Amino acid sequence: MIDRLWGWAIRWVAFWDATEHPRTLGIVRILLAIVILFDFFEIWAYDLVVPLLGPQEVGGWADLMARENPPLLYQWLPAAEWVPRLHHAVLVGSAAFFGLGFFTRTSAVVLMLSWAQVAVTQPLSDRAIDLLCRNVLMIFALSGAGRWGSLDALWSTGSLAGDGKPIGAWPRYLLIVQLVVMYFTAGIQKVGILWMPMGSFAALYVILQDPAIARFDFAYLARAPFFQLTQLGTLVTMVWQWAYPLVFLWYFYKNTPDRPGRLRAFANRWHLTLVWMGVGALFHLLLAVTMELGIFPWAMLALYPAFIDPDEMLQLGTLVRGWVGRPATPPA
Amino acid sequence: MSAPAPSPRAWLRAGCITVALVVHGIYALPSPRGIDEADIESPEGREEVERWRELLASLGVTYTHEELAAESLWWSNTLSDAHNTLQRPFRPWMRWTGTGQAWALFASPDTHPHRLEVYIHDGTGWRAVFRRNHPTLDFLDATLRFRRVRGLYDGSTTNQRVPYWNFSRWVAKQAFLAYPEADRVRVQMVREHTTLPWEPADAEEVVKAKRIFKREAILPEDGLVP
Repeated sequence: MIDRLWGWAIRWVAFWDATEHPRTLGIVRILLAIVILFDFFEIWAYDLVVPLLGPQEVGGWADLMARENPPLLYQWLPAAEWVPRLHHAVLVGSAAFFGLGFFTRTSAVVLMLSWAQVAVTQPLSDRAIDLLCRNVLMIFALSGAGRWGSLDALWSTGSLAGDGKPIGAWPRYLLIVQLVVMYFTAGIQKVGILWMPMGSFAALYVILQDPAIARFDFAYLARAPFFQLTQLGTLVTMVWQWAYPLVFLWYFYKNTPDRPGRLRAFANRWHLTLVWMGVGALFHLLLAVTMELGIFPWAMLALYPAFIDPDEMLQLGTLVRGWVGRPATPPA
Repeated sequence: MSAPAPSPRAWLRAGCITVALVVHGIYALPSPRGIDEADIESPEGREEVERWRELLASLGVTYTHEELAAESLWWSNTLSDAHNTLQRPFRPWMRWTGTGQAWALFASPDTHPHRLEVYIHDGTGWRAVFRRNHPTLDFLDATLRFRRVRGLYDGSTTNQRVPYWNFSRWVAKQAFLAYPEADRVRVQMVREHTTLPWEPADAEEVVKAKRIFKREAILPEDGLVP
């Protein structure tokens, strides 16, 4: 028994000790930074820096200074208009540095901590996707994501692509765990009866009638066959979210293709890891089209490359370069 | 030949990751949020309890509406308290870093959603200038659709009144600047009732969180008029 436990412990430690090329994490870092920067740009473009980030004394919407426990930022700095502007500048600057891979780890920490101050300053404007991004930044702050596609790589190796030295694979694994936890727990917490057969799978229909969320007026969904399509969408959402942890099993099968088993053979033949990713991507694209959720679907999609290991990413890159670089007419 | 034993660094890394997974696992545990009498007595609360009561009755488990409401209240709060107790030691860290796991996304679809509306008053009376998802009443449309702004008004009839008050005042200021003829601005939420296609439509709309601002009370404070 002790030997068996010890064996599991060794395998657990070895799993988190694996290394890989940094390109996948580098790609996720860049994509995520672009999405985050867009969100911060929108705050500025709508002239909401002070309203969203400032205290009501200077035109902000939050009653920060009246709170028993004001945000740290306002414990250290006065309730002046320059403070939210400085706060926004730090958010933008650290997000830009993070995307450029310039002092990558430090910029991830600064971005996460300054973003956390947004959450306590104006909790109502801090949504699930903000929380997810900060979790991801915490992982990035401890990772080697700055070793590829970054100014840090250029500085230390003379090449933007770095020297290809392997980094720990565990940050990418944790990103996958984070996505699985998010989807699965979102699924099992859907306890509203409208998500269930007894509620006629009407959840999606009801959500799309909410004027605060729906991108358009979806009153027509009450008619056939549109209502039935929303029922199908509700059912697929529930099944997909509840079944999301199966992606771990598909990965396990993918990494042990020589072992026997019909399910393993089926999963590998039909590339079920890609199917799970594809359904997720479609789900987020539909959300982006139908609901006003801001960066939510795009930030989620920015994390999706984490599902692809660096070697597959290289093959994918070669494939894409082949398509893009293919001449329109054969050379003479 | 057996694989080499993991290094101390690998053990340390795996240990730290395990701790992080356990802590975040605690945060990710699905537990209902604590609710109170007001939640359970709200229209959407009553509707949800009633639907569950009917379901349980069809399975042979009979409850009155009041009994099921009381059971729901007790279980929600007991589980929520237990979850809070488990989270407590890690809360300062989570607050500082703004991290955590809370993914109750659309857990219970809102059958009584609220629609934001903005009206201006001029010599001829009140007229709407913004109504969410209206094709022509689109004053400040892009800004009011922005996800960070939506959070300020969506659900604000039940919580955090100060941010909504400041937000509505800000909207009023923008309206006075955009419509020089306006002498008053009204910002309000209208509660609607979404019924299922085979249920009778409920056209009743309840105005909530209504705020009326006068031009002379808003703009001078901002130094925009003498």
